[in-house]
Amino acid sequence: MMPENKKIHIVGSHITQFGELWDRSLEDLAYEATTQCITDADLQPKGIDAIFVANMTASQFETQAHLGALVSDFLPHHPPSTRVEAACASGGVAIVQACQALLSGLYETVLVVGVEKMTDGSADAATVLSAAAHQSAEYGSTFPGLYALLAQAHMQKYKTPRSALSMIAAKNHGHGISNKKAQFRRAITPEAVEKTMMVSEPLRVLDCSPISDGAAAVILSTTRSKMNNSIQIIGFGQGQDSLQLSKRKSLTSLQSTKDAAQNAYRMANQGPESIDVAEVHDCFSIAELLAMEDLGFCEPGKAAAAVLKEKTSVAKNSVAFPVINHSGGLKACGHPVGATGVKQVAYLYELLSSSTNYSTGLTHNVGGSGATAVVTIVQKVNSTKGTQQ
Amino acid sequence: MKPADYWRQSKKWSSYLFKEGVVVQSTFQYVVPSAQEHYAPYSFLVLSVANETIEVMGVPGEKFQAGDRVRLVLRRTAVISTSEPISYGLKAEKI
Repeated sequence: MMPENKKIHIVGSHITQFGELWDRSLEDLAYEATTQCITDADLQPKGIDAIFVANMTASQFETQAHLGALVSDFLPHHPPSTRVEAACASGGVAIVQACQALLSGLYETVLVVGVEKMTDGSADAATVLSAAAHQSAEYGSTFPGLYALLAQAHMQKYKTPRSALSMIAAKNHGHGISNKKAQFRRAITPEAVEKTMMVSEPLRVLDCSPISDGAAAVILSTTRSKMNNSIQIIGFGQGQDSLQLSKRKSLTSLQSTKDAAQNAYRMANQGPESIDVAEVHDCFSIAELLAMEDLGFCEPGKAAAAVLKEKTSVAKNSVAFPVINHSGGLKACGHPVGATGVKQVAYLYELLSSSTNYSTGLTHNVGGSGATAVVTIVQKVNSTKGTQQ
Repeated sequence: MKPADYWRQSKKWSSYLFKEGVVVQSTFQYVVPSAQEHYAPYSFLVLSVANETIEVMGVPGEKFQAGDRVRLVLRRTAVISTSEPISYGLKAEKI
């Protein structure tokens, strides 16, 4: 349970444009996210007690390590700053680290920045990203290949139709049209997905999230809140499993997601039925299908039927299911890996702040082929009792 | 692959050499890491071998199905070079 005497408020956010941003450096993106987030929170920089910076690949693509210091340099008082790396779950784990620091009482207000610059790096993207897999035991694999193995297993066990994967990609592209920060803002059809080049059977190009540049930031605080419509993190959890796919108990679900979700639901004292909107880790179309089942939105093997009836789309949402990937997800919004987990929380903060349709949201961020997973639950709390800065 | 990496890795790989097993799951990769492009396309497999479950590449160009019986044999892990040792790893071939 979340401690009775501590509430984690989200008090500011910023998401940069996601995409192939040739005119923006890693530092430019981190600077925009940091400074605009502080402005959004209506804070003075010295109000930030500490910084958590999520990033996976800057050392390889940009030959820039020491990102904690790079971001701390943006603030005149140089608060303590730590880089967090957990592959594609770097952002989610940074949020967890920030929440734990706040709940410990060490800090009152912290900045979490996720940033990644991937498109014009000096290294081969497939090789750099493969560092998130087991380098020797999974030699010769790719991430599409590892998720393709999960897809094959799910399709064999549950007779999951290929069309469900295509529908997920098409749905997320449809959602991305409304998101001004999204890398891809154009509709695609399920039929178009099935005509694209095969990457690793059964996954095709349009089943895969893109290589992206981007940054996102949120400010979390135990002592400050917006006077009305306070958005709070009411639960979070992190799960781990074997780095090697072949050492897992199952190829049709991610135990790390199940564990993270169980911990987050327990802390929030809520269940999957209370989630109105979820940003889940759809690095590949099959990943969203697995997430629906592992997060408890439906029984194992039942997600495909819900997807084919469009129950998770904004347009045809069913009461029984949350809207999934309102932002367009990783598929259409983009996947700058270190930024993704932070962007998910920032996006839900902005959505819940501006919409009356949703009051409780969930983020789901996965590292590698599922060795790490983070689930966070955010909720709009209508209150005028918050302590204004 | 650096010689020291190869020396360490080959100790693990050699323990599986010529072992027989069964395909648990397979995919056929068309897009592969740059170091393996000369083998593409190839299968990537989850195998049950000697009471363990491991991951390994298949013979280039050949598709596998769950249940196929295979044997682990040697393969070159990269293009032959005059500037470094010729390294060998494992691949699965159908029995």
